[in-house]
Amino acid sequence: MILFTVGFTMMGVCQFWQMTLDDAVRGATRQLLLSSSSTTPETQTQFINSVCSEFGAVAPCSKTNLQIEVQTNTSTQTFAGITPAIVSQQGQLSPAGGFPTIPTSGGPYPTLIQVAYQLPPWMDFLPYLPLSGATIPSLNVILTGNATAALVSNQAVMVN
Amino acid sequence: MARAFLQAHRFLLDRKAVASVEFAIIMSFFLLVFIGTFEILTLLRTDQKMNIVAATVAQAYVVESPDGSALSASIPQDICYGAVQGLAPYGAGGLTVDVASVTSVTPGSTASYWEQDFSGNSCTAVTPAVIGSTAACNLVTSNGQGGMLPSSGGAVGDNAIIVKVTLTYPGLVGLWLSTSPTLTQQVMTRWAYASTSTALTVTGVTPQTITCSG
Repeated sequence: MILFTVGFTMMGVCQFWQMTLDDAVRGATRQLLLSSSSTTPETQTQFINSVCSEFGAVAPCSKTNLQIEVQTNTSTQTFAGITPAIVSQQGQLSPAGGFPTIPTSGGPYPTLIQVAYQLPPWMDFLPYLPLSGATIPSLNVILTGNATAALVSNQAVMVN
Repeated sequence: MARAFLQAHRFLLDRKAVASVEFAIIMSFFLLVFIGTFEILTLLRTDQKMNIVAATVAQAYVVESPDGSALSASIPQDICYGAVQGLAPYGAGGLTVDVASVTSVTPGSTASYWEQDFSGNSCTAVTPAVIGSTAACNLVTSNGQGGMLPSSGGAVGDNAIIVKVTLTYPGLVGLWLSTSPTLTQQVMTRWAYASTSTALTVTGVTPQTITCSG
């Protein structure tokens, strides 16, 4: 019964986090779109700060637990030419850290923004409860909805 | 008969393993509530995600062709690929992306209309048109809620792009229900190219001239 109560609470909190993260990434992406046509395009730090300004109100958010990969296809200018980063079962985004400077002319440029938020251990212990001596990481799906230990939020936008 | 009744009576009075039986009954109930809550929350999340995807697809069309030239034939499908990437981590197996463009030819009378529809992870082009010319016209004129192509005071080249994104929700409910819920989000926008007469067109797609009075 205790396990159920804890499970319910964690699931609710994680779903709330995910919705807030989606909204925060949407807001940050909008900022990125607006800044791309200016003389001072947004930096990775500014992007993270933008996400954390909203998401940080509900969850611990910083450079250390927020992984970002931004890819812009400036060659063929197609989404099909972008290979999305993969999130491992442990919640590691790979590759991560890319944040290209988007050219201010010659666009529009397809841009894929991927954000992965690794759940803190105090939130993520539930799927790792020993079960017959083994762990069941696939239970992460209850918390994150994607069988990894990270909340994932993607945005595919056309940057003008 | 009497023996069976006696056995049933004995079973009802038997107090052994009562806790286990109670646990099994309560546990199954809680499990059902737990899975149900999870499903409803995931459904809401997916719907919110669909809203974002529809908006980003619309945004992609808005900024395409900044010089007013026709979009190359592959662009609509590529924008659909973007929708698939943006929908992740949810699978796009049951996704359809429908895009219609209505441009005023004679304000309050006729309009140029085209539609392209794509389905699934590989964004396969599908026919017939999902939105349809009549519905598209109604949506963008004062017949519907749009009012983007007014019946009076409008200009040649007034444009409205309708993006309709549909996803057959692939959650756990699909395991025991034969029909899965279908989530739909619709967004309307306007092509950003500033011209009073040029229509947004796609190479290889012949626009229809439709009666669209508003």
